[in-house]
Amino acid sequence: MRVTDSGMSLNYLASINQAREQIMDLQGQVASGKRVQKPSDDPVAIGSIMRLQTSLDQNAQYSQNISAGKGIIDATTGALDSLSDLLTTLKQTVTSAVNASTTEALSTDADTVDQLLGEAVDIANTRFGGKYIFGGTQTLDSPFTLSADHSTITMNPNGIDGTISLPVGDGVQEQVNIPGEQAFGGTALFDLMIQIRDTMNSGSSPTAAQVDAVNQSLDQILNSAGKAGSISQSLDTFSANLDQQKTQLTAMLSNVQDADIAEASMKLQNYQVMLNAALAVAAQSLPKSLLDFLGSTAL
Amino acid sequence: MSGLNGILNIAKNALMAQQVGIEVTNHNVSNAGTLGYSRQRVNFVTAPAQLESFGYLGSGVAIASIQRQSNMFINQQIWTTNYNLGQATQQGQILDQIQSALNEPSDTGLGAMITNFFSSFQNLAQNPEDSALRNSVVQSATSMNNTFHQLHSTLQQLQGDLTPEITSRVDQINTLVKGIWQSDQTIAALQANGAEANDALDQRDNQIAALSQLANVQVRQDDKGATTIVVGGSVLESSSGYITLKAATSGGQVQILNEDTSQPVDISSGELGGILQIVNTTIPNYKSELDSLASTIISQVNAIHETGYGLGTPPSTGNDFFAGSDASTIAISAAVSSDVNAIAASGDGSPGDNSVALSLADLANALTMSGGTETISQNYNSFVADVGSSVQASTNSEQSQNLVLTQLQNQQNSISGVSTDEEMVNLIQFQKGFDAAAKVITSVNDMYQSILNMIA
Repeated sequence: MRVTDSGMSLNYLASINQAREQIMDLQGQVASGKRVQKPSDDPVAIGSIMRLQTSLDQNAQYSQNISAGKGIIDATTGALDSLSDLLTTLKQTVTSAVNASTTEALSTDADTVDQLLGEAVDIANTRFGGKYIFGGTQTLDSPFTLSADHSTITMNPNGIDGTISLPVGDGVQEQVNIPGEQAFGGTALFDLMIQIRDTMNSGSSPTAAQVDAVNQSLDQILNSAGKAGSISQSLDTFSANLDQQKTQLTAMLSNVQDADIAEASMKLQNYQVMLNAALAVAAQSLPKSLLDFLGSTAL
Repeated sequence: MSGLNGILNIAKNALMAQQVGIEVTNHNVSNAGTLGYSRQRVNFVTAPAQLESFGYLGSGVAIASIQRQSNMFINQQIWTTNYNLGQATQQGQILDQIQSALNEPSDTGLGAMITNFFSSFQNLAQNPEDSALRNSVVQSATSMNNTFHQLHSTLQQLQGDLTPEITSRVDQINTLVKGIWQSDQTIAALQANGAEANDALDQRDNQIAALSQLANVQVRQDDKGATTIVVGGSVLESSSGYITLKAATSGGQVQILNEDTSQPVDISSGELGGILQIVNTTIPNYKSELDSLASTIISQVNAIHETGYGLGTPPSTGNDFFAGSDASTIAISAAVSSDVNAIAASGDGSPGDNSVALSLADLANALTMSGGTETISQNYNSFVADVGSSVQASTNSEQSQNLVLTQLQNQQNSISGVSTDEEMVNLIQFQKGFDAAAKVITSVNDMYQSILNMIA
């Protein structure tokens, strides 16, 4: 094959250009740490990368949902715990009042019950982040209203039985509130307290049925507190799952997207050596021709 | 014709022949770097022998022709490679621009915007009674809408920017075709006089090479070198004449027409073919991909949103979340943009209910695209992957066509290219030949002198 000057120049240019292109690409990989920087770098991987990225974003959103849910349910647990303490006090008061002999003692106990009634309604109207936690989905209106003279209790007429759920995983929703209807059985607890107070104020001891009702109420509140606790626990489990998923997703994303820096650096060096060699060869051999050796005497 | 005069004549012809050799060498060396130059070679032949009494006596050297070293077969292959390469390069460049506009994978691309938009409904679901969170829903919807608008207008603008690119290439083609026809006329005229039209042929082949980068031309040449150029079944140029092309737009499609007859000319490859394909097919496809994403989001979100209730007494209901119908018009509805409390999170009107917000957030995972087989994000992701593989295919094709072209150019160079080494060797050879012929003349001169001396 005849080798011509322009042919040699073209070949040198082509190989130098090729080495430079590779070097540019590898430098980009090493600098960004990413093997796939644009879709055309690996159209197959780009689908996985974007899917994993979306999963990671969703994962973060679920974690955030769980924190929000935990806030509500922990406030609920706290409120129900205080209420169960309060009912324990009520139970002691009522039990001692059964054996009380004087109307004075009964009246004092009645005052105590009245005070507990006020506190219980306050607890049932607990707000967290501006929301009434026992209002069901009626979070902006207080679930219970105690009349000024503590004679009647009314419930929000729109109902306080709505449940609130939040997504905590793909296709999984978890209830994050205990609606007042479920927690207190409507106004029954407060009606009972009003009834006991009025009984004692009228000079009678609380009836055995009333004592039983107090015990049942305490059980119900403890039950609700237990439910809140188990929701909180299940949120913790979901949260731990999400953390684990996040670690896995991040690792998977890194696998498809990230550059193997060591390998890229090695390749980079290889191409640099190749480029240097090509340049050196070009610099040495391109300017040479027969002319250099003919000398002035021959021509 | 033997005798001293005969010797002198042979030597004179030899001197002249070596000079022509040196002139052609000079021409070759001078044009070693000229684009498309084919080296020329002097074909020396022996002059017709003379019959003498003792037999045939050679009568020296004669010049048969000065021939251009070129291989039509390789040229043809180079022209074919040229239009494939032109198409791949052009499409690669344009698709790369579209790919950059998509800006994926990133936190600011449309993919992230769509995810953020649906996530914002989960945030709203955490506190549906909160007006401030409603603003963040509007904000993420606005960001998503803006990204849709931006992508749409990038494609729109690109399509507009490509129209002058098409016209300028059609003009180039017209100029080149006219030039080729003129070269053909010159070549025919030269050849009619029995001369080799070496440099004119080079010039014409250069023009064909330039033309072949622009369009998928088929070139036929007869043994006299007359050219017929055909593209997509239409004869662009032949010895009988040439046609002029024009670009015409109808119904958003750009067509190339014969200027005189308005018959469509099918240009499917080359730079022009590549651009036409992008303008007529690729960009409209990408636009409709974006439009169907946007319209699905609009209709799906609105359908659920209408059933929900906003904040307020009484809570508003039946409102659309989005206005518009496609990627260029998607916008927040008037109801929502005038009052964020019109965003429906609640399914029954109670402020703490988040069921509608959750249903809206769930749309992110619903199979609403491609006939119920893909989620919105999946559909967008495959769109991005599609753009990516188109860019990759163009780049790969560009690389492989480049390799083929380099290979062919090497072959062409080894036939047509100038080697200075070779030319120097030829130069020395011709110079020595010249010296030798001159020496013969000196000797003949001496011989004449001897004869004259004998007479004196």
